[in-house]
Amino acid sequence: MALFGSGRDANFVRLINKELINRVVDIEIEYYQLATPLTPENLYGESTEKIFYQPVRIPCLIDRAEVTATSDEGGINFTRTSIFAFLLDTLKEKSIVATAGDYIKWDSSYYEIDNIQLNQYWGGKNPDTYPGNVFNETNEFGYNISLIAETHKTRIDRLNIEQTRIGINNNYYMPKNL
Amino acid sequence: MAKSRFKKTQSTWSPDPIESRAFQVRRDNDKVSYRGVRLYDVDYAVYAHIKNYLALPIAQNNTTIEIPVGFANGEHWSQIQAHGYMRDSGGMLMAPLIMINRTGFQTRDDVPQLDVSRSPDNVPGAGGGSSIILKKAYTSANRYDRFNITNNKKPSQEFYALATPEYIEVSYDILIWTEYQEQMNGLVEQFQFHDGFAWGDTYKFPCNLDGVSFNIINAPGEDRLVRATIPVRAKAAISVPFEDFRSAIDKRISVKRVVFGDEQISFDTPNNPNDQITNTGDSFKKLL
Repeated sequence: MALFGSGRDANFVRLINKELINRVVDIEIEYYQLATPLTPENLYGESTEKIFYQPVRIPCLIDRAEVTATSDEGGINFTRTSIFAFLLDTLKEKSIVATAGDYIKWDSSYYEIDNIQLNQYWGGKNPDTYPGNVFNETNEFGYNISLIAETHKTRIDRLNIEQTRIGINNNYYMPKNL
Repeated sequence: MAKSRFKKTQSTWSPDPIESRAFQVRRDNDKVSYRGVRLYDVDYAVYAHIKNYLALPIAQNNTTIEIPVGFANGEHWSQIQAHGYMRDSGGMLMAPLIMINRTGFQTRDDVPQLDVSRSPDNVPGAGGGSSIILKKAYTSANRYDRFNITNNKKPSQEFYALATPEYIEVSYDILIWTEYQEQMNGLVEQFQFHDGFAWGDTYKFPCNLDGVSFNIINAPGEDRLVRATIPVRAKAAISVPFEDFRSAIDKRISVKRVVFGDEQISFDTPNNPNDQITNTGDSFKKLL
């Protein structure tokens, strides 16, 4: 049995992280989960009428990459990858099971989750799988800190959430023929 | 003093060809112009046909979307600013989209090149080569004149000779990009029905499809791509308004008066067929 990294120590780290992310940094995103039982799927594994659950606001840390321009026959395209880091405890409180294929809205853009990383264990131990914890041989050890979602910016039009082809853009009103 | 004229401006070894004055017809007194049938017209025909008949509106995101059609690889300002409606607020291209990419053209084998014997400097105006002759319905020189009738003058005809067009086959790749494969099916089916049709609105060119290839990629870190490429061959006849720095259309006036005269040629024939004719210079004599 290790001397350090017990449940009490983990609680200390948990509180500091929670205060830092939820109250100090306080960047919130909207988390969209597909309502898979309600979303019709066609033969090709796609849906033209996606249905989402109500979005949930979650505080997180964001590591956003620069916008990159790519070009092919279709024309110039702009894309961006971003990493969203959540406290796993916060997700549990909000009853969210994050998986690849969910969407995150931040800064009026939507990001599709490509990959989920769950490997930040305090003291190197995951309390859910640590044998001492599982078989009740020891007190709780370790702490599964975070869930890191690797995402890419996705086209809004395919989500069936917002209308992108109608409306006016008042923010960019400029006199013409200058 | 007469102006000296260089006689070998085109080649060191041979004198410049002397143009027939019959083809030196003034063009400042007619308004006949010729813009030709150019590659642009073939491109536009393919574009217009896809835009008008093949880019069917599709339902997406609770709206009906007209599919934008355009040529691939435009300038940046055109793609981003002029066609900004094709992008969302983040600048990302939105599907569906149809892009046309001209990949090349080659001479058609199924149509003979009618002007194959023409040398580069032998444009229709200079005579030779094959050309298309068009007769103008009205000629101002033939307007009613009492003098012409009383003198039994034959009205002259005005013709315009066009260079024979080049028969080519222009190749295109039609790139169709949709959000869903279900949408792609509907679009590709439409193309198949128009295989072999004459595509275009003003000028029409028969177009054939060379099969459809699908490209569906779902790589991590990128949005799912549903694309199809349709190679199209347009059979076209192009003719340009200028060939070899000369106008490809040439004005010609019919012969107005033909005068027949007597012409006799006499020459001495040897009495003995075995005799050799040694000096033909004196023995031939032209009599008018």
